[in-house]
Amino acid sequence: MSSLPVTEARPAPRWIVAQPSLAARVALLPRELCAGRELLGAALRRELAARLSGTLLGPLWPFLAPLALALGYGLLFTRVFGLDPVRASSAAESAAYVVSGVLVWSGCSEALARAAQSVLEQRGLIQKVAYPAGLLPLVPVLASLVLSLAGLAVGRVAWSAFGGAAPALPSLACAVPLLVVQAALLYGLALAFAALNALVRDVQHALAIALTFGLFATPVFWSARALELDPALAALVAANPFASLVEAWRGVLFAAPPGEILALVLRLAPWSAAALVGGAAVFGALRGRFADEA
Amino acid sequence: MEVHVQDEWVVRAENLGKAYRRYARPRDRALELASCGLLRRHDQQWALRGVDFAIARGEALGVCGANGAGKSTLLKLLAGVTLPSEGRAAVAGRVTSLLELGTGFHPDFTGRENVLHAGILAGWSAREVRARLGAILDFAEIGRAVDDPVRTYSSGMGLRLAFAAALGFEPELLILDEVYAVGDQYFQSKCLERLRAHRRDGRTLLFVSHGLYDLRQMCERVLWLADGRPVQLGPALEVTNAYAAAQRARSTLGPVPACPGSPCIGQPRIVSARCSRRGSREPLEHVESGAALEIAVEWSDPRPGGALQLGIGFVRQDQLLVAAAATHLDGLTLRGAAGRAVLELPALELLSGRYEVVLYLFDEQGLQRFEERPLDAPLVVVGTRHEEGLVRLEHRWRLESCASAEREAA
Repeated sequence: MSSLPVTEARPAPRWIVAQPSLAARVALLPRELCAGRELLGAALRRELAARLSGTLLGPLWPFLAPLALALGYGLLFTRVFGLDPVRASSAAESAAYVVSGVLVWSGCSEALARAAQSVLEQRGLIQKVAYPAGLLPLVPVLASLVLSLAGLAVGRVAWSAFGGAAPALPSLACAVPLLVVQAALLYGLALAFAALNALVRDVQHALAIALTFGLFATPVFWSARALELDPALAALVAANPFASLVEAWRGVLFAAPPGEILALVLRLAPWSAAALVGGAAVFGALRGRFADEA
Repeated sequence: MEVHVQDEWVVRAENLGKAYRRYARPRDRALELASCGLLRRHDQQWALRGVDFAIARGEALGVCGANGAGKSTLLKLLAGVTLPSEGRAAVAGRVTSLLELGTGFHPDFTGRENVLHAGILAGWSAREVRARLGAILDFAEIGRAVDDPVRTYSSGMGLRLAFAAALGFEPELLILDEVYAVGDQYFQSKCLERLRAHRRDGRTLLFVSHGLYDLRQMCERVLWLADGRPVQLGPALEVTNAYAAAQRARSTLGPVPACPGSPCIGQPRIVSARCSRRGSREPLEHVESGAALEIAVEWSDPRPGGALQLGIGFVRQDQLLVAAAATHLDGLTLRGAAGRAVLELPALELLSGRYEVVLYLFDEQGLQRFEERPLDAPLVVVGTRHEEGLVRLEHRWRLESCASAEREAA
């Protein structure tokens, strides 16, 4: 193995100080995301490959699993309980409504559940290598977004193939800002859950319960208009950022006017910003303890 | 080697300390977190405190100390794995820390994919990693298995690949925690040669080991830690001798334990050894200070074309290496399938005491030990007159009157 020449220029020393300020620890996050782009790409590819390698259907699974969930709950509501919580004009439209909601919710739910365990699962790594810890929750968030998008794309193609209306390009273009605010919302929450769960492992169990509750508190299987909720409850639903998220994705997929979609994106944006700032603060406050206590 | 602040240092530690939080129950941590730290529910356990040193560019610093002395904590701090609780540290240049082999390897991915990821994980760009990939895989010598999942590797293959990946990127500072040679004897030699190349290139090494010989061979200076505190920092021989003496004192001055390092089958070994008076073949256990001795060692080397070095050390009961001779230090090499080397000592200038005569069989460079063992019986040196100290210095006295001394001064 031949040797590379030693660089002659003296590199600037990297000081490691005791108890850096919270601001310094929070500021570390964007720096390590920027410096760790290649590592993030490599880790994301590994995460996706690890989830899909060895499977026969590969990228179809992100679509099939939510489809099965939608089918199960759809049959339960309509056939067993005799309800019509969507009140769509046809059974096909009703199915498309539920499946799209389940696809979006499953992506968010999986991202948060996996991200919450990310620091704990990689403690062997962070106890031995100076790993940019901020990447750990981001990898499962991005992997779930990629798979969720793949599922939505498959669903959209299937909807057209079975006679549904064609997608509208202006509506599809709204997916870009929507993805940005969704990623920010999920990453902010993921940072907080991952940091808290690294030190108190009850967090992942509490989160699993919260996500189950969230599935029913978000208009995934039902429509607020169809159920004619009283104003107080309707306001509560409207305040749920995941309700805006699910509705916005339905708008993108089923050709809602771009103005309507962007209004939902704007309603979501403050939530995303708050989640990002709060998550970064929690993560920054606790990150120094991961290698010692996780 | 004294490193001053104005020198070109690669590592600096200033009053460095690390305390770990200790919670009696998980709910104490939860309560403390929920109160944003207002309710303090933990004790502090100091693992390291008051450490000050600097390592100059190109220097090798060893760290020794008993288990729990704070060695690994020091390495973790300098590698940026954990944060100090007091003081500060700095590293100038890229660092590769090898605290555990194979960290970050995924069993389902191929060797090639894992090396690529390990390089990026160590802070190198994908382009830099790809440029080094061929050399790293050549070094690991795992053949076509490089494209098989790592879970199909033998443990030896996995270690070789992990070691090659860790050393393949030639950082400015290499941090090693005990791990410095893995695999079979052949691959261990390659690892040691790789470390020598690291040093030859003017790169810096920080090395933790319990092997005092390894510290002496690889490092210019050694830092001795005990209970998280620095005890001594200085030349490797001086510090390792002091540490060995302290270790022996702790173990109530029993006999020197049998040395580790039994030879493997198919490897060079010491066949027999004896200590006798010069010209005699009678084994010797008691000898007068100043007597003429010889120590004969028969060795064998089944490797074709192999070359060896032999070292013989006199170790006092408290593990202090009093004196030693080695063929490589005297410009000699043992060659062939077998042979006998005789160390002749015209006058054993050791003073009264009980000494272990320890034999070392090394590779050609005198770094890798094939065997290390003491003679069957210790050597008891008996003084013939009253003398103090460890060794007799060749000397003479000149006595002069005050008047003649004053005349000379004038």
